[in-house]
Amino acid sequence: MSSTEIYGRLKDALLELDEATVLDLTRKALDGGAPPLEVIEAGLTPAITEVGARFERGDFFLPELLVSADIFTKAIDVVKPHLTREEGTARGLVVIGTVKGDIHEIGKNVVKLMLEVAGYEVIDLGIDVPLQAFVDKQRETGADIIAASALLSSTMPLLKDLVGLARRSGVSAAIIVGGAPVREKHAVEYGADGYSPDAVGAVRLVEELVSKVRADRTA
Amino acid sequence: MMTSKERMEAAFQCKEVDRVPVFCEQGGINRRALGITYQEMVTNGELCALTDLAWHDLIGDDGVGVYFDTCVLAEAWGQPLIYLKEEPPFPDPAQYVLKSPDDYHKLEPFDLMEAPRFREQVKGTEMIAELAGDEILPRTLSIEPFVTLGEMRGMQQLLMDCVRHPDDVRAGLEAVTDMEIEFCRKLIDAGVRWIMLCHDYGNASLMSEKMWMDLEGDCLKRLHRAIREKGCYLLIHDCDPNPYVDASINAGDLDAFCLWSLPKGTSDWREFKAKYGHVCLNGVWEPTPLGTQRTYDQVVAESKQMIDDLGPTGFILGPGCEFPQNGSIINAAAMVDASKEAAGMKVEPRRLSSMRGLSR
Repeated sequence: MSSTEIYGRLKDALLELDEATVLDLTRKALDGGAPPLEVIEAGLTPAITEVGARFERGDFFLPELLVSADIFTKAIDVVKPHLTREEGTARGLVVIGTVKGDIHEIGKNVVKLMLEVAGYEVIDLGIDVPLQAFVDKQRETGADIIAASALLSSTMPLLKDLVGLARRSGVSAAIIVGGAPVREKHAVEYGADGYSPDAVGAVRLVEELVSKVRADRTA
Repeated sequence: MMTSKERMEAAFQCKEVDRVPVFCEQGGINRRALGITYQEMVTNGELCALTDLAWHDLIGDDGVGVYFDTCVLAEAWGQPLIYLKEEPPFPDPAQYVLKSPDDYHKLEPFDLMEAPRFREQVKGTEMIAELAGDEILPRTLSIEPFVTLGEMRGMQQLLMDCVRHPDDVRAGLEAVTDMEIEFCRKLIDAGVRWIMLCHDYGNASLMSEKMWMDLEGDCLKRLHRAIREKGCYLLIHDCDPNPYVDASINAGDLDAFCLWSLPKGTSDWREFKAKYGHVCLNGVWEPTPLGTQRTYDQVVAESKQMIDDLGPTGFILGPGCEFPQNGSIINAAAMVDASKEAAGMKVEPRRLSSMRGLSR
């Protein structure tokens, strides 16, 4: 089987949420001498991109998205040992968490998963996170993005406080916000750098902002 | 003038009302009426009853009852919770009791009255029914089996199990449904006359309609029927985008929907009302703007517009999800004032001027 055939079948298998076949084909591609980076970029990435497109169209829902992301992550783990150090470098670093007083995590976890799938390193601070912890972790790691979530009307205003705290602290990262009651207008009002209503949009937003943050840092 | 009880019953039956009833869906803000903490409210049935009665006296709305939080049944089944002073308790994510798909098969029925918080909920309900049962229609909140299962397995893991281990999930849902039915029956025996049942998983933000119905459809039919067979009104609550209204109706035996998002294929609430007019509608305020972003005058004006569009029969004014616990109490009262004004009733001038003075 040629690499092209393997990649086509790999895509089909991931869309069918067939974990065993995805992992088997990933190993077959590597054993057949395909470059590890090609296995990711030509095999796995188109498949997970199609998963995202199906999710946005409403053909896939959260359970399918979570399972496909889980399979994708396992396939990447198969490829990883074969990557050179340079090839294995993450596309950016994101610090993520749900703000203090809020224990909702599913939305935050899905964003985290989709970012990891897209090649970003994500540091998850968890739920009920004090605002200072976001700032401290960004400073400690030099993260490109702080992503904060709030699901309650009572915790939403903390997103504004976080933006204020980060700005006062001179944090050199973009701050993005989200959560069920949060809208674009709130992000603007809070002075955040971006907002997305869903995980797939959050990946696009991070892609855009990481480049901007890095350009600003070197300017 | 109708009593609150008569008004709510008429609304559920889509009959004439003296004014549109108001349900604030107060699940945390009501504790401010007595100045108690969240933790006190969700562990003491009598305090919970008293604070909701005090809220009713203060606001004049029509939804009174004892509701702690969504975790009472999961906790009774052994799920450890984390209690906070000023927030509702939640399952400890480090200690989910369902650790593998096999564990769905190990859920055994138990005596609910052995569970301390459920006993408190029963006690509080009995107290409300005794103190105000002739005047009000006591309520409570229950949850679809998926929610309880998610609280014991972890929501993310449960959603993945729905794809990978659907038969195990079905077994878990069946076991939870049996206990949910028992939960509702005991509260109805204690005096509850309408139940808001949360269909949290029945919308496009969580799973497909097909998966929802394949896994839980039969359970929901059993649960709906059991509630209605006891003579209790059933209000289905779904606060996420694109709720599966038709599927809920197909599950049968319901009296009302509480919503703030429209189902797919419906462009506005008037169209919704025309399509589903045989079922009472509760809402349709988005909670955050209602509680935290509007002034008293704006709430009155927008509420009157909703009543004009969707009432007066078969409509209960209120937020389509819980009134924000940090929200403006004045804005809750504004909905009641709007209902009175829309019906040509007198709104207490002292109170109205006081409200206007305090308006943001």
